[in-house]
Amino acid sequence: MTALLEVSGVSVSFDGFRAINNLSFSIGAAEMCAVIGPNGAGKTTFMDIITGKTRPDSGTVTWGERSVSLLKMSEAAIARAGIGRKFQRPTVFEDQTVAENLILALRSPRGPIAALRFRLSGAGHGRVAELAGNVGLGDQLHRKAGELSHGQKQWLEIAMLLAQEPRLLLIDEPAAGMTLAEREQTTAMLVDMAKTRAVIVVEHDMEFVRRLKCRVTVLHEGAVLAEGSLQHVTQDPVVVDVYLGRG
Amino acid sequence: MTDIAPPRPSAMRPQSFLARNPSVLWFLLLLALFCALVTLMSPALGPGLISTSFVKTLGKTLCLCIAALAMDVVWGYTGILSLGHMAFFALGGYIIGQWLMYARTEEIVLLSLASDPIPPTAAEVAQGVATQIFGVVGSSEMPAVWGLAHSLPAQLALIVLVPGILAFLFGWLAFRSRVTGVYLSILTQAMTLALSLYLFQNDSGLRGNNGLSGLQNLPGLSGVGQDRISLWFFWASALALGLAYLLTAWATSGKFGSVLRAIRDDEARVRFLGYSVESYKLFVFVGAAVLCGIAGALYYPQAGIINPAELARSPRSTWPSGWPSADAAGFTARSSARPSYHFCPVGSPGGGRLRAAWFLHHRLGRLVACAARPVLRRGHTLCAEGHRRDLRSLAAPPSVRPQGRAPRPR
Repeated sequence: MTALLEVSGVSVSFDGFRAINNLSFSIGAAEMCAVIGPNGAGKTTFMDIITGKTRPDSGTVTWGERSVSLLKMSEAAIARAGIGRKFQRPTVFEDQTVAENLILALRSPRGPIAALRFRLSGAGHGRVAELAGNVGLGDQLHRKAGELSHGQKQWLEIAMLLAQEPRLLLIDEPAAGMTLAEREQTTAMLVDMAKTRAVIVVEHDMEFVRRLKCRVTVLHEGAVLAEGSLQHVTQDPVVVDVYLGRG
Repeated sequence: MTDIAPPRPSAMRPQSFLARNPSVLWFLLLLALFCALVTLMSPALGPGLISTSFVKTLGKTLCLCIAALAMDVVWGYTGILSLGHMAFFALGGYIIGQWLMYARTEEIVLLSLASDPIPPTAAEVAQGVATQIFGVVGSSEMPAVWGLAHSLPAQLALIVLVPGILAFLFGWLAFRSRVTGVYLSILTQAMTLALSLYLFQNDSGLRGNNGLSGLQNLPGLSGVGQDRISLWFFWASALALGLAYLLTAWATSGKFGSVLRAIRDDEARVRFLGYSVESYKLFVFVGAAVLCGIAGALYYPQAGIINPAELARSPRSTWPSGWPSADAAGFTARSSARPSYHFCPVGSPGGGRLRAAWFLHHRLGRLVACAARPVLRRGHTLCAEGHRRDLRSLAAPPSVRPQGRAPRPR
């Protein structure tokens, strides 16, 4: 299987501080990977580089079958290419209804003229209702997103992510602020998503990562420390020393 | 995971635009009623309960309402506080003023040369027009910027093109560099100031601080009284306002408006949804500039004069931004029943009638912005206090400002 996303030899410094140091990483088209690491390991910077928010000083990031470089593309172009990102805290548009939020995310031409001419088709209606129903917001379509609970906002954002129909999902701490039942739902949903697309999950919670049953990449000081199954990396003495050993 | 509820129609918006936004129809109806009322009271077609100058004041107010609509889209929806759109407003006035002044002067020159034994050549006429217009700044050459001034269609096209292109260049540079917030406001204010300083110069070709005057006289219609002309411009302004209202309400009611509000609230998130935030901002900035240019082109023939001071007084360029903010403040303060005579300066000269005109001139702008709220209802809630202070510090409204009171030449 060829890689969907290939990050190789990437380095980036902020005012002399090496946030990412010669990092290489790749993921296939239908695969899940968890990225773990202590605070300051470069997890967020790693996601920023993939989504175009941060430009690396060196290295390459290539995408898709034709191996296009993501480094020259804007954030919007990268998102249109099929990379979706979920932030740690829910970022939905609070002043707009659940339906409006989903319509914004729905896959469609993104230009201003296209938005002016946009009319939601019958299939679009069904899709919005289906997405909202999948995350338990089917009867909340007309409510302002700002009125939803924290957990519901998380779900709405996941639904928006699905509406974008991305080929690669970057998910930052999906379990943060969720109840146990919600965590189980989230796990099931992520595993389900990874059947048809690539999913990268950044997570602190080891128990949550264990449930995902996927390949784990351990970051430390901006570089990959270890890679493999959770069991494999947790037995790695170096990993235990820098990360797990700290308790 | 709950079951899928069937979508309710209102959220999915299957109806037509007007059915979804009945307030648009109400606004248009009120505007039409207002027009009919003014027409019936006007000196030209009614008993003259209101004066010609008051009809002009009302017409000018409608033009300022168009600028306020443009500002609501730019600031209220997209979150760009532009202090430069009054510059585009003034540019529209200058451009229509060029044609009005040229064509009218040409008439006068032809008339004065008509008694000559030999008919004047085109060059002689052009020379006469140039001397007439530019004598005041010590020149008798027609500057290059007046190259198309003889042609009404060309000047009408320029009313759209010049503000549009200027806004495009400015916006492209500013938005591409991701200048936002107060820095962008300062940049737009700087652009306005630079433009007005340029226009102040005698050799910039637009008569320096004298500006363009006599714009109330329509070429070829010297037989028609101002009472009638004022009414025509009033109607034209009302029509333009109605169309602008329809256009902005339509544009902001659907997904486009949704994207704009999303940009205002969280720009970075919109980028990660795949929208090019910069193109949307540029689109809105340019569209509002064109709208302001058209509004200005209708305003200044009613004002009769335009000069660089129209751009330079900094409170002036903040007027339209005062409306949405005062409006937002008015709305948030509604429960506390705060009196809202924001724009009536206490010591304005000219007695009761003028004060009433001044009051209406500005109050009406606010009222229309209020009426616009049901559709354009997401303006920024910012404190109007500062704007109010600025407005009070204005000595007199433009309609009563003595025409000779231009800044000293430098």
